[in-house]
Amino acid sequence: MFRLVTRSLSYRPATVIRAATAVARPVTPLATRFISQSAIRFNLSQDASMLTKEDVLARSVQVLKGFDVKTQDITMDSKFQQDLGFDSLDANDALVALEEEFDVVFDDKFANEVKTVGEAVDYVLANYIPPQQTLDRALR
Amino acid sequence: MSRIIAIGTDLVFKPRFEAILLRTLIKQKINANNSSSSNQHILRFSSRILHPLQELPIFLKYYNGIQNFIVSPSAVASQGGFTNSAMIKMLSSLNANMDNEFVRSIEQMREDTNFKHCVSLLSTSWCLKEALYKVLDPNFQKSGFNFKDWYKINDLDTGKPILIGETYTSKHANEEFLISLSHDGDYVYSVVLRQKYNL
Repeated sequence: MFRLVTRSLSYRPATVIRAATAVARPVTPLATRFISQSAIRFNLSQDASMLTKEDVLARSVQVLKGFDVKTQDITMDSKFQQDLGFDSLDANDALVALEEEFDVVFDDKFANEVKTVGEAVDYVLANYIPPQQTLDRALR
Repeated sequence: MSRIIAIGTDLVFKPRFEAILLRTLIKQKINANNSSSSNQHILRFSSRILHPLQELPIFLKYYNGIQNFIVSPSAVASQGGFTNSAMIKMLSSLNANMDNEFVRSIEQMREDTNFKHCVSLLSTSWCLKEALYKVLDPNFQKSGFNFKDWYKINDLDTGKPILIGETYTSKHANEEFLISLSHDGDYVYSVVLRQKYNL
């Protein structure tokens, strides 16, 4: 039961459209009612609602650098324990920080087994849900 | 007939948990007006470690009771940012810098009873469960073991701590875990002994 509570807490609707990543593409069936005119106005050349591996890696490295890492050179192959020098407490803390960054939840099985930064990046890519977009002003 | 199978131990330096809590509280303070930033680090972190029914509600009660403290973003920036080691370094040299406003507010936070309860709950729980992890079978360690399946209570008569893991016990009814804890200032120490009865 508690799991449901924490899940609903993490899916908070964004109350502002982030200026650089305004998106017209609906992300859920419910959102098809709210298709905005933004695509016409913002002239997007890239679908900003989906992350690329490079995005995720870059943001993850940024997050991980906020911890006391053994080396500043963090790559997909960097191992949390051997390369970054994390013990289990640091690893837990770092995983939660990544969860915060991407608003994903690492399931228990994965959290127990994850060894490298790359595995976390792949998990994020597989489970990332873009934030809900607000109604376009014209439609309200 | 009982047989001792394994013994495990763990030592925890409490300021590591203080640093995590302080870091997130400060971040929350700074991001208070930024609705797009997520402020659930502590909720997620504690949910990973603490049992959802027996430990987490108590923790959250104390966490929500933590008094607000004043911190200016520029003061934080000048203290070396949010890394745990920067925080721990600051925590260990607090008296030398007591004229600094930010440091004083951190010191005040550390004295807050709710904050102390939070640190205590997290560090004790972590310490016990790490020691417990070490006594379990390797294949259970890899898949099946979760911190949040276990909780500690104290015997109402003797006060002795008891470790309970309902799912595990239902599958291994002939096993028993004997535990002991010790606190000294910034340190918590635990030892767990796993024992099997031949039924």
